Parts: sequence; C-alpha cells; structure tokens
Amino acid sequence: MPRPRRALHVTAAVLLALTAGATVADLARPGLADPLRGAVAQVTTPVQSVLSGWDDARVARLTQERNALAAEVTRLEEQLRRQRQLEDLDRATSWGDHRLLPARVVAYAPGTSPVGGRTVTLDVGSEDGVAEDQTVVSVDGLVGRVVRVAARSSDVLLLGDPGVVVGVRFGPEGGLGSVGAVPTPGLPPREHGELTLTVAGDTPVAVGDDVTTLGSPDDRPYVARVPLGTVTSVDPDRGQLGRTAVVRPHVDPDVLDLVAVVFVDRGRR
Amino acid sequence: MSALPGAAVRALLLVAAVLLPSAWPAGLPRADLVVLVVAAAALMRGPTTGLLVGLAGGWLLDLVPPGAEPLGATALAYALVGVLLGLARRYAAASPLLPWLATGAASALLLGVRGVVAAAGVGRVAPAELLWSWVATLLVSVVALPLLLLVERRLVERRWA
Repeated sequence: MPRPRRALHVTAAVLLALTAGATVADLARPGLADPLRGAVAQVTTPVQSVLSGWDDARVARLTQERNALAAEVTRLEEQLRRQRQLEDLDRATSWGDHRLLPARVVAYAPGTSPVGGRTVTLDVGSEDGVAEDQTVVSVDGLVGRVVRVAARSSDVLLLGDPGVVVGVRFGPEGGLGSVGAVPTPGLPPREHGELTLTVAGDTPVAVGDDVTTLGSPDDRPYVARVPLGTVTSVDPDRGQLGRTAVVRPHVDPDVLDLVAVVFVDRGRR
Repeated sequence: MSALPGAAVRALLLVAAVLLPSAWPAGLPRADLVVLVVAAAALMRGPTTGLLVGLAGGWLLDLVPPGAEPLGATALAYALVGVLLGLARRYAAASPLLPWLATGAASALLLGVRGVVAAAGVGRVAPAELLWSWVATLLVSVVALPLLLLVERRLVERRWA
C-alpha cells in the first residue's frame, strides 16, 4: 500500500515542521500560546485533581491545620521576643520623663551608595506621631535622631554618621564635651565604630568614664542623660585645643533591631 | 481497514499516560509513561508512526499543566525518540528483552537532553532526580511495555493501524 504510507510520511513531515515552527514562535514571543495552554488546562485540570485527590481528605485537612498552627506558634514566639525586648528597653531607660514608642528597624542605607550617611528606616511615621529631630534609643543607649518622617516610616541618622555631633557629659563630675565621628586632624586613627570625645573645659577625662547625652533645648534633637558610650582611651596631649578621648558607643548600629522613639510629654498630660 | 481506531487508541493511551502521574504518590520518583506508549508504537510500526506518536505525546506534555517551555520542544524531543525507536524495530523481535532495553535507552536519551540543557543554563534539574526518574521508568516498563506491545499487536492483527 504505497499511497497511505506516502500520505503518512507527508503528514509526519508537515506536523514536524509545524511543531518546529511553534517552538520558534514560542521562543520569540513567550506567552503567545497562553490561550491554548489555558484551554487545555481547563479540560485536564479537573481530571488531574480527581486523580491526585484519591487520598484521604482528612490528611489534607490535618495538614492545613498543622500549617496554620505552626504559623501561629511562630507569630506568638515573635510576640514573646518583642515583649521581652520591650521590658528590657523600659527597664534600661530610667533617665527622665518620657514616653517610648517602640519601633523596628526595617531598612538600612546601603553601604554602596556613593554619598550616604549612616541612616536606618523605622516602621513608625507621622501617623504614629513621630516628628523630625526626635531622639531614638535602644536598650543599650543612644541610637540617633529622626531626620525624615513619612506617613508610615521614618529615617534615623545614626550616631557615628560624620555629620552627627552630640553634646555630652562624661565622668563622675559630669564634664562637658562633644562626641563626633570625625576626629580632629592629628589624632591617632580610630577603629571602626569608635567616636571621638572632645572635652570642652578642663575636666580630666579617664578611661572607663561613662558618657551620656547633655540634652538639647526642648529635648530636641537629643534628650538628656541617655547613655552613649564609654571612654576606652585618652589621646596624648599634643597641643590640641581640648583634651580628646576615644569613645566606644554602647549601641552597635550594625545589629539594631528593636528601638524606641522618645516622646517628652512635658507640660502635657 | 481504516487507521482511525488505531490512532484513537494511541491517543487515548497518550492522554492516560500524561494524566496518570497525577495519581502517583507525592515524593516517589515519577515514571515517564509517555515514552512507553511511544516505544510500543514505534517498535511495532516503524519510524514514521513513532514520530507521529512522539509528536502527539510531546505536545500533550507541553500543553497539559504544568506544561513545559518553550512550546513544542518536548514534542520535538519525543519525535526524535520515536524515530530512533522506529529504526530499531527490525531488531526488536530478536529478543523480548530488546524492547525493554531500547525503551530504557530512549528514556535515558530524553533525560540526558534535559540534563544537558539544564547544564547549559536553561532550566534547573537535580541529577539524582533524573536518575531516579529513569529507574522508575525502567521498573514500570517491565510491566507496562509488554501490555502496550500486546495492544499494538492486536491493532495490527485487526488491521486497525
């Protein structure tokens, strides 16, 4: 039977060519065949679901329940952790009349941006009452101040940014000074994260002195008496105007998680 | 006398081969049932039939969810396998073991193509998964291939194909 076989060969060749054409078309225009796929799926999916659904419906239900419970456990554990952190924060901040708004750090400024301060983003904003120039603290001490506020988020300029200089008191006598990230020229190099304390008066500074914030008028941008760091070494006297020392801040800005924005409710309530 | 019943039976077998893996227990390696249907047809009827059945099976695999990208690539691969198996038809009668070996080789070829394409950076595949899929295909074909060949033989006897 030569004729049917010939017809078969021709059919095979044509279909093969059509298939190759379809492949090329699908490669050139992905998604062109989506209506076709959708139509096939409409026909075959019921069959597939019947075929794959032969097992006990109870297993599916129990699996669903188990997954929901596991998610609930994760949520509660997170809540517990947050609660513990909040308790610590409340205990640690015994430095004045204040109200704390807990906030979570949700974003860091990328270290690769060409010009960038050290900023982080918090998940509270003007809808929560946050305004610019409010102090931000964590369990350990001063974090920074709010520089930008959006409706649901706010950006915090961290202590350690080159532009940040904080007025401080240090030592048992409460000597005045300022702490900044950029040391005045001529001082020994600082390690990563270390700050420079410049003494304003003649107060002697010693290793181990606690450094706390001095406070600003109206408590903006920094409220008073927030722990900031510890003096780790005193620079040699080389004729600079004020004595200088190295301060190791209490807060490691690289591992910030739960922080709080400080509200000072003076005169109100 | 007509070839229509044979084509209908093969189409039915292909649809079943594409849809049945849904009933396979999750976690077990999936056997390739389509290549068995293609192999049975090609080993009984020759390269042209092998090509056509391979094309049809590949199109089904391409279209039936979850489907494959790009459309038609699976069809071409199965068509190639169908032609190769059809060329092996004359040796298939020598021993009942030979169809099984040929099918194993065809399955290995398909999985190998997939592995090479993944190695070239298109798609992703685990080598162990491929190997287990091949083993499962071999195991299933021990039972399924003789049955499919029997069906093909019946079709020939009744001059339906």
